[in-house]
Amino acid sequence: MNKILIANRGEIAVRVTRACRDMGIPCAVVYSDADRTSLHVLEADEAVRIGPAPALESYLNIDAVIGAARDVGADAIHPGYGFLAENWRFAKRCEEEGIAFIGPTSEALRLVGDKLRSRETMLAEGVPIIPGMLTKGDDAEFRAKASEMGYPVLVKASAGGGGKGMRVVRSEEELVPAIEAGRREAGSAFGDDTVYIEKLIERPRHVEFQILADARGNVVHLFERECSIQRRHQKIVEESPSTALDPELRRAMGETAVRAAKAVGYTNAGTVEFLLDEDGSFYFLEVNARIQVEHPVTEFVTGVDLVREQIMVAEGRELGFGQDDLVQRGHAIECRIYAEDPASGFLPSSGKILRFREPAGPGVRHDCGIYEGWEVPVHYDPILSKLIVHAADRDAARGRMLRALSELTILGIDTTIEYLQAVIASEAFASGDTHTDFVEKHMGDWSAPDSTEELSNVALMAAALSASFARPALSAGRSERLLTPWDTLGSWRIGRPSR
Amino acid sequence: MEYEFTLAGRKRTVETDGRAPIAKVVIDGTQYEVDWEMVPGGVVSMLVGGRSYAAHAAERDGGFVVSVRGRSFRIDRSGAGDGPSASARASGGSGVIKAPMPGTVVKVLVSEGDEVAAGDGVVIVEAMKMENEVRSPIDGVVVKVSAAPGDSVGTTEVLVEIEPRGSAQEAD
Repeated sequence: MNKILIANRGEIAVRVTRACRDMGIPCAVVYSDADRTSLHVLEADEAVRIGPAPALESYLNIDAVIGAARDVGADAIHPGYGFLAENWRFAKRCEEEGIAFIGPTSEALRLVGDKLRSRETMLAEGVPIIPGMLTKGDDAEFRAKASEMGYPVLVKASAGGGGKGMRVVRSEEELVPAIEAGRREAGSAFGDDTVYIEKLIERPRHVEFQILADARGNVVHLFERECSIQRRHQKIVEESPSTALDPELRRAMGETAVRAAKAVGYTNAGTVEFLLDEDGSFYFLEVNARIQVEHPVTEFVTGVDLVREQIMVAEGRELGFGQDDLVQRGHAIECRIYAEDPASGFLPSSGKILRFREPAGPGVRHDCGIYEGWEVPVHYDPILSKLIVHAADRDAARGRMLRALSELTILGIDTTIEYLQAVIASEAFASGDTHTDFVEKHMGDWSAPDSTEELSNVALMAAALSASFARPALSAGRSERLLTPWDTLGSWRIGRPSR
Repeated sequence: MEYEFTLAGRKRTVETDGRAPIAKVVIDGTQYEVDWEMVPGGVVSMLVGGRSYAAHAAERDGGFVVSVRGRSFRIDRSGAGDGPSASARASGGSGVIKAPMPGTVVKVLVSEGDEVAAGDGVVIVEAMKMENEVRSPIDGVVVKVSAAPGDSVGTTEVLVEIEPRGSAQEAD
């Protein structure tokens, strides 16, 4: 490959840029008007404006992205996750334009992206499917099928992922409003408002398997990630290994994942998602045909650089390892840092990042899309960064995550950091009681923790000392004062404060 | 200098001579000697009784946000134009309902004249690709609907006005 265009933004665009540099492949990024000063642009060698802030007019605009690839002379496109990553029309367009799409073929993408069709394919291959699967229908048909299956049911977007357009429905009167809301959300997020419903399995775990497949028929799995801790059906904590799998179940699920990938002619990196019931039975959910947000967890425990493998597979190379070469070493945990206020129902928060400090040290990785002074735009998913730790075992990894979370400082906007501290520190997480109802069951009454008198006092000291230090000319309500050179010098202090 | 702060709903009085390198800081009558340095990057390094604290501090809405040892604090300055919280803005404390965050109105769930109870959804606003239901903070009657689907709204725009039930009944 001569040059790779990265058709994404934020932390994943930075992540892919790094992989390209590791491999010595030139790369370029795209940006919307809202992202001119975003980190992925600052970190790039080349950057192309592709349109105004709304994603539909920029990151989801196929013509604009293809045009950008032409402009910079890129012969490959890495789509990251979200946006166009699982859009088969985009992959097909790349194929037609002679640009390598770093992902599966448009044909495989079309099959796995259509959840209804992919489930039929899986069923034919003997891959276990959730009971009560349905085809698309109108409101009356949905109502009839839902009553037949029995509530609760789940409304899901056919083209979706990440919980967008998804609704739990517990009674008949909630069904039609949920379908309407699901359609609207799916339409604006994916440009396709098809929804379907399925039987809801109570208290499942969400366990997924990472797969890698080259274009020569070699398919391996890179073990599981447990992603049960979710809010609004979106993952916030992921780990590998899962506490729920023994070697036998792991082997069975891994083999099923490989079978599922082969059934749809899958190539490149992908994820096969399963729901794991409490009795140990597991059901195929869907194939995520992209690099996942939580891929670093797998990179830590397997030592495989997944983005590098993606690029090599897209170059037509054979996988350099087989299933027997892969082992899980130690334990990895990821926490997603969102710009959200956990105390008010995870309401997205936007604004300027006033202070920022990244964690560091042994076994810590911070995949980050922000910097101090940057204004978080309102137009996109509120993920700020991902904090991933690796240690010899799960207890050590928990301790390391708590330490790293306490080092991570983001001031100026609401974030999920303190909430995640509470999740990781909880008894339920420590004992591995991680089901998809974790947030509801164990975190329902969470509020920002009361602090110790010691730290409260220290915070008050810091505020008072900062206030006394602030130069009067810059304080609110003290305009009209002529600046002297002393005022503009910055942090000067001789003996006593200037006021 | 003496500061009136509010931290976690509690009024706190903090006085300091701001002297370097050792400042006297009196918090609600208790005096501390603080060895302090302003470190580039907005960090206040403080040594108090041999313990070391590096606090990140920044001004926000007239008050401060401070993070120390992994804990974040919102410190408001009493009487100095305290910024309302997101939820206070959302409810407005009355029946004037504003968007809790900038976004796009996707659906208006009420019409003028509708009776609503506290907690009822009135408008759905999409921000950051998530739909968020804006709820009524009070029981009452919808007297004005200003939002329409497709509107881009900031946090200052009024979406819906609700007259509290009490006053609506009086008007009847």
